Amino acid sequence: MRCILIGYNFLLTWLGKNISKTADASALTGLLTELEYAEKNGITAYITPSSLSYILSQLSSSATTDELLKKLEQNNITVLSIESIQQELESKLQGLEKISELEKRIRKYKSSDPTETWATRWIASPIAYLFPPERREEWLGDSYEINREMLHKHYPKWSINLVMIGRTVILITSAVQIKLSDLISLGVKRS
Amino acid sequence: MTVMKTSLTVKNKGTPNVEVSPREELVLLALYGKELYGLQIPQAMQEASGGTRQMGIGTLYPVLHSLEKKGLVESRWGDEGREERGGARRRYYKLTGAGVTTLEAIQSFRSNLVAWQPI
Repeated sequence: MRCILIGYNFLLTWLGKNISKTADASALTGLLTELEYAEKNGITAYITPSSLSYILSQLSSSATTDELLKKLEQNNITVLSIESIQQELESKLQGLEKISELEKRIRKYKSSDPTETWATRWIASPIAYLFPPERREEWLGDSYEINREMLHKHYPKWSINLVMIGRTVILITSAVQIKLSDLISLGVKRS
Repeated sequence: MTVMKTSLTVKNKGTPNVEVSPREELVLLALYGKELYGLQIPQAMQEASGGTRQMGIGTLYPVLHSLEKKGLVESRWGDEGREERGGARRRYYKLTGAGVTTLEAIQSFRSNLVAWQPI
């Protein structure tokens, strides 16, 4: 494959404007010979912008950028322009920016992330009424927070439900423990 | 005479007025100089110990209740209900003056005990 990597289109434009009218394609011929040699030997040829500008400076031709590109294409040389790649990437970036903006707008209308599973809804929340009233909000809130964290970590739903049932049982025992300690301390004070 | 003085100082400085269990002591240490809500206390212990020490909620809540009753810890509700907590508020805990004094007394007792040498 013959390949010329042209870094900057403006360089070509500048060269195209500054080359005189008398055509002298010897430098181009030399380049083509080198490329043919590379092709025969299975070498991919890359030419940097600086070396291309040198070669083009040897051409006393008034060829414009388009004409030059045509000549190269006629000789089966693929011209890759970084500028065009850059433009392509910029357009892709613009597209991505539009998508992210749209996602932000959509997020406003989306329902919030689920924080509860059936275990929190049907087991922990009703049983929470057994907890001391001053602790209910705190304990239930902590359970919800853990539940949400597990959901975010993509644990399987069944394991989250199981953990939640276990936590509810532990909280019930904690409530009993607190009640008992209160009763005992009350008894000690009275005695 | 000097020995007697030292032992008295240890007793006066090191003996806390309130009895504190090892678990309660750990919670007091976790709350020293900061205000944490329930779930942050086991997290602090786990991270500080490199995962070797853990405290379950079954232990934490009764311990916090007991410390509050003893007047070593005080709590307040967070400003507003959070979405990730199903609208519930957080309850933040911090040491009271008595809690700080007790903890410092325990620390002092421990360091004196480590430094103590028989004569």
